[in-house]
Formats: sequence, C-alpha cells, structure tokens
Amino acid sequence: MTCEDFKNAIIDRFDTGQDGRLSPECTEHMEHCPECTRYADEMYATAARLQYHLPTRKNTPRSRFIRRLMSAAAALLIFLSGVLTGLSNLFSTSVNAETSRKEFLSNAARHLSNVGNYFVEFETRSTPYETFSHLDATLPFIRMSLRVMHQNDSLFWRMEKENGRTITFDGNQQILWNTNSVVVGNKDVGFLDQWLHPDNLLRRQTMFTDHSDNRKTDMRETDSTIVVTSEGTLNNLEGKDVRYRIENVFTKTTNLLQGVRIWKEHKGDMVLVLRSTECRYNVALTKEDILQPPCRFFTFRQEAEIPSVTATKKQARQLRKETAVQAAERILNALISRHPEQATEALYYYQSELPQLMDGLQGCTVSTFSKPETRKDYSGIIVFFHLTRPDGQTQKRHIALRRDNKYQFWIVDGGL
Amino acid sequence: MTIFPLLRRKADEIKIPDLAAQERSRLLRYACSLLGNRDDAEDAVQDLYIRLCDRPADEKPRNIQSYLYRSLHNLCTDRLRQRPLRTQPAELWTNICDEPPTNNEQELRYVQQLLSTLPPEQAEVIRLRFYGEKSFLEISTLLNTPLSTVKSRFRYGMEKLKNGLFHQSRT
Ligand SMILES: [Zn+2]
Repeated sequence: MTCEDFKNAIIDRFDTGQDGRLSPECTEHMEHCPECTRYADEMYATAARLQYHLPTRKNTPRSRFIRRLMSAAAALLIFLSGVLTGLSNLFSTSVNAETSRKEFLSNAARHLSNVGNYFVEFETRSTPYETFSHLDATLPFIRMSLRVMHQNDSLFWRMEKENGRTITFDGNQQILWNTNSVVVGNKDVGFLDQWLHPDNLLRRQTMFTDHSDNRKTDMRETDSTIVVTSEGTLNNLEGKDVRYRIENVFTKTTNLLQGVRIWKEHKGDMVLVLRSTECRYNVALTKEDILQPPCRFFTFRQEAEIPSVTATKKQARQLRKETAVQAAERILNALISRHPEQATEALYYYQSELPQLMDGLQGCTVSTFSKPETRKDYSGIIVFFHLTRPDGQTQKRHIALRRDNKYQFWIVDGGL
Repeated sequence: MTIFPLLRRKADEIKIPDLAAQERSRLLRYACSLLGNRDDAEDAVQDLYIRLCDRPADEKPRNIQSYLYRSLHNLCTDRLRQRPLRTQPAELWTNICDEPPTNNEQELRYVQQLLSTLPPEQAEVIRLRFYGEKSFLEISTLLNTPLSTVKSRFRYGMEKLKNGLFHQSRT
C-alpha cells in the first residue's frame, strides 16, 4: 500500500455506512509510516472540529413568521404603486434611451410623493387569503382595493381583498386582518410600505427596465389617451423568470393613469391576471377609512340568503312601501326602545347580537338622516345619521340596508 | 369557492413538502453551516417550504433531494449577499487556535468561517457529507458530478482545513 492509497482509504472512511475500522493493510501501513499516521489523526481531528451543536433560537417563531409574511406580501404593490404613480412620466421621455429612462425613473420617484391620496380598485387572479404577492393565471378574479393616504410625513394605507385578507398601516403598526385573527407587526417588519417608498420603488422599477430581458415598450395614442405597454421577464418570489406584460392607459389632459392591466405568461399564453376597475387621485380619505377593521359593509358585497319571513299581507305591503330612510329610522328606534320585534325581519342577521346592540344604544337618540347613498360595489344602500349619546356626544354613524330579497323588505346589512 | 383549485393542487404535491419535512433537521444543519446563525437558517428553511408550496403544479424536479439542497443553497447565499459585513478569513486563522469556541453560537460561527475559507465546491461537498448526511455517491448524484470528483473535492477541502488548523506556521 502506497501513502496515496492510504490517504484515499482514509477519505473512504469518511463515507456513510463505515464501521470505523481500518483495513489490516492500513493498520500495517501506519505501523511503519509516521507521516500517514499523523495525516489520519489530523483528518479525524479536523472532522471533529467541523461538528457543532445547534444553538438555541433567539427570535420567536412568531416574529419570524411575521417577517416572512411581510416580505412575501409586497410583490403586487411593486406593480401597482409602480405603474400607478411612477410610469405616468413614461411617455414624456424616450424610453429607449438608457439615460432618459433613468431620468424618468428619478422623476417617477419624486412624482410619487406628490401624488397625495389615491384609491384604486382592481381585480386579480388570486385567492382571498393568499398574501398579496400571488397572481395565478389559473384562478378566477377576486376584487381588491388599495387606499393610500399621505398626511404630514406619514403614510397610511389599506389593502383589501374581497371577503378576504386586509392589511392596514397607521404609520407605526401594520395589521393583517384575517377572518378571526389579526397579526400585528411593528413599523420595521417592512410589509407593504417599503414598496410605497420612493427609493424602493425606483429600485424595483430600475430593475424592471434595466434587468428585464427582451423588454419591449410600445406607445400608442388615441384622441384622449396614451397607452404604454411594457413587456419583459421578471423574477418572481420563487426566483423563476416569468414573462409579464403591463399596459398603462393615461389620460392625455391630466397625464394621470386611468387604468392598468397585467398579463402573466402561463403555458405559453399571456393571461390577464390583473385589471384595474377604478383609479382615483387626490381623493378625500380619512385615517378611519384606512384603519378601521374590516366588516361586512367594507368587505364588499356578500351573497346572503334571506330567511323566510312571517308577516301578514298588510304588514308585508307596508314594509315594501317603506323608504330606506324610514326603515333605518324604524329599525334604530326599535333597538333604542328595546322592541326589536318591531324590526324582526330587518334585524335577521343580528339576532344573536341583539342584547349587546340594545345595550349599546340605550338612552341614545338618532337624527339627521342622510339621503340614501349607493356605492359601486355594494348592492344595498347606506344611510348616514347622527347618534346622540346620553352624555350629549354626537357621532356620525351609518347603517347599510339592502332589499334584494324576494320580499323586498329592507334588511340591515352592516354598520350597526 | 376559488380556493378549491389551489387546495387540490397542493394535495397532489404533498410528497415534496413531506420529504422536506423528513429532511428538515439535515437541511437546517446545512443552512446553519452556510449562514453561521440558527435564526437565519430557520428562516431560510422556512423560505424553502414556502417556495415548495408556491411552486407551479407543472414543475416537477427530476431529483428532489438535489432540488431541495440547490434551492436552500441559493436562498442562503442570497441571504449572505444581503449582509452588510462579513468577517474576513484572515482574522479567522489568527483567532482560531488560541480561542476555541466556548458556546454553541461561537461553535457554529467558527464552523461557518472555517468552511468559508475553502473554494465553494469543496466546502459544498463537506457540508453535504457532514450536515446533509449524504454519502459520496448521493452527493455525486445530487451535484451531478462524478464520484471521483466528489471524493477529491472532499479530500482537498479537508486537507486545506487540516493544514490551516495544525500547520499554520508552515502555510
Ligand atoms: Zn504513508
């Protein structure tokens, strides 16, 4: 056995399934070769040095979970806040030239801080409780909305999925609302807001324009709009290259984006995965609009089956004739006077909560009912009113009613 | 209703996450040796699971073990790249022999630094052997590299470490 054979034999001993014994040839070689003996000893000692004990964890799994959740949630906003605020400068410069593209991006980032509040409604192919990063060409569309508000130097936002996940940010805390639970993260968890930050936006957009292979940008003009279409590949969160096409439609007079659509490649086809249904800028938003917990009223329309109602023909006729404001007044007064039987049909969905509702309204008066208001995504109507508490304090409240049931009665749908 | 297609898809794929779960302690030790820090390693393994669950249904890796370790390796190196500062190997050799690690954190950090002084392909074989608990033959399949190359990478890597540890003055 040569020294080289011996060394190879030692290496083989490090393989799995070895019983640790050296062959007789090796033992014999070691007896007359101190070099190899030392080689073997030192190799074992080196292997021993490479063993380690697992340290205990420092962070709790919960905080790590939140961090993970937060980073995964961002990808959709990359597109959204990017295309909504940044690309509106796109058509003012030549996108083909490298320098002007950079310049446009810097402008875009600056532009973002001037946009003020905005409200966007859109539909994406995704699931209600996925993080916002996932666009899946095989899924049906789900309605989503994004509200962003700047106040002083703070940013507030709310991202909401129809009948699903909602995330709010109040400048300090990020809260993820699920059906029965909330996850609260501090400012540093870096959830969605980092993507709304100009620097990050600029970085992501530079990536899209610079590092997207086979990127194509095309501009078309109509009488009132400019349509900019960009196409290229982007790394998704799984690190895979996926081909995207983004179409932005700008209003010529205002230079503001009026619509966006995103296609994603799926099995060779470009499938529409995101389409905006409404973009509004400089809208009046309040902190309350942004931060309130999701409830039925604000999680858009719910399909609810109306229960069978027992009412005499005369009662039914009266109920059908009632206006929404009359119904609102009747229902609220029934609760205040602790006679819910005067609004049994209307309070159907609140049966289990009646005692708490009545306690909460005890001694209150209602007044100043507004005209019924409608909302685009809500099939009922909303009536605002003033609620005066026993201590004289007055609040503006609302009640949501709908009558799309076979009886055509007003039923309380939210707000209470 | 919309959630059903997704659930069905995940059920079909349950095998890979299952395998990853069996492999978890080895994947964790492997990630630890790359990152030198348990929390980061746990995060990287967690990312790996999320990646597995988010994978498109039509993507079926040919070698699942290889897929797991390749993905985890990439996740770990991404994390390393994001770190602002790393200890230089030069410091390492001067500190190593005098002050053996006294707690588990130091021990792990020490192992990570030792391995970071090696050419990546040699360190990788050593990691897969010791922390992934793979045989040389398995490593050869996993890395799609001839068995003889795997063994020689292991040998040269170990010899370099050995010389650094025991023959510092000579090298
Ligand atoms: Zn010898």
